[in-house]
Amino acid sequence: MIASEALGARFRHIVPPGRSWSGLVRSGETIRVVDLVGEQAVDFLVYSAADKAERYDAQLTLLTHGSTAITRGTRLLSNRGYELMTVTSDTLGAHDTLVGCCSAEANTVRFGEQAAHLHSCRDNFLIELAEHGMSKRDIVPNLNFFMPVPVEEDGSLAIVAGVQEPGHYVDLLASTDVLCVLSNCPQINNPCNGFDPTPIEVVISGSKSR
Amino acid sequence: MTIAAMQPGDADKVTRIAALRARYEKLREAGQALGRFEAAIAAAPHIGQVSTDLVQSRASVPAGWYWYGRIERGTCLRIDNAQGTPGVACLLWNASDPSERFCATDTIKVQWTTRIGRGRMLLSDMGRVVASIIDDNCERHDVLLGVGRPRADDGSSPLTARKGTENLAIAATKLGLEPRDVHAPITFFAPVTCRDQRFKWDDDVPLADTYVDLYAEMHLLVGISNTPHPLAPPEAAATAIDAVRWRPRRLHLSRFCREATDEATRAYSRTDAYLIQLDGGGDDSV
Repeated sequence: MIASEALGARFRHIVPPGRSWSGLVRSGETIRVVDLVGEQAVDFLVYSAADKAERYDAQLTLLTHGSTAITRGTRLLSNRGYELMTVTSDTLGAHDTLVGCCSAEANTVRFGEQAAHLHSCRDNFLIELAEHGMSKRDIVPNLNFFMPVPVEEDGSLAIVAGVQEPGHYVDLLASTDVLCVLSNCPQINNPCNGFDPTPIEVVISGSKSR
Repeated sequence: MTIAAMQPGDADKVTRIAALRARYEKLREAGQALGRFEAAIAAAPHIGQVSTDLVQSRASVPAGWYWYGRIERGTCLRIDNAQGTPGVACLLWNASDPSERFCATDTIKVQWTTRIGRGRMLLSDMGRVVASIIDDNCERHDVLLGVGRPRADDGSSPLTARKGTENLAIAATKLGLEPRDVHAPITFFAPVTCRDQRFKWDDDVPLADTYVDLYAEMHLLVGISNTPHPLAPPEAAATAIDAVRWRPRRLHLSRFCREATDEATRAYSRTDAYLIQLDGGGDDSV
């Protein structure tokens, strides 16, 4: 599928709607996240594999990037100021790192009690982090791929409908060995998944120099 | 789902999606219509001068330095910015369970705005209110870009100049927490605008003689770094602030925040349920 064959994929995995995945991406490898069907948000966190207290820092990434437009060339920085990954390809150009992940708790505040028992990205993150001996305290503001959140000059913001085209992807090149954690967003209360979550694919390609 | 991908049995799905979309648009319209919110905060009195008999403690925090402390539920923390320093970063934790903490992302997402000022709630990662902004004569604070860097003009020597993140790590660990408990802060007195997807510091916002009052909705641990916001212009002098813990005469000073939006009503009632459970009763599983 797509160009990943040419990249020499060492790992590929379909993440079903609403489910999660985590794995090690070594320095020099690229992880591709593919929105197979379209209009599907993917919540993404990244940690240094050597010391997981070093983790993605959305605020420092935004400050250094100077813009909310996360796209090709954006460097994902850690809380210690080091580069964890770089966005090397982006076919969509509509990603977010301002509004974090959905949770049962916030869903209840946003949408009412009927949202209390729906799956969420925060719960997905907890499932994955537990596999690596980590906990809620390790969850920080994350990236949301394929999820546009425009901010107006007066500060108002909203999650708006994504793009209903199959096959959009982002490539992230690891600058060091990293643990990637992602949730294929289960949200059905706002337009981030077109109110109908769909599968995504994760592809890890080997370093050319290896 | 695209029309082309539809199967004959998908009519129910289309109906369900249309209903969910209509509900979201209704919530969005209500959340972004500021009339009710503005009326609620306009009707609430300003705090103004805090009389000295209400003050529990007052600490001067020099430029470049940090502060940390415990704020009891139902009491207030005033950050007094008389000299107009351009940015004071603040972290908050639930003292009863510090794994619950201020959540910058949920705070802006739930309230449909990055403009977090008077009348708004500071939300935790558990869908509860850690603190309410019950007064604020600046109304320009930043939750997007975080904490400042040391400055040449902040009066500190090279040996004492620290990054804001280092200050926050010191404050957190002196409260008994760990570096991974340091989270994305809110930076008060930082007029940042997002225009055409780029961040801009608004020079025309006066910062001298400003203050914010945070009303603790639960027992809190609070850490502060008095370091200028990273976008503050170099000519804006970094100055000392006062961190003032004070006990109001009246209870429920944040009632006007609770009634300002539907999201607030739900968040405060979830907080009430949690606090009842913490006191030994009730049930709060979500």
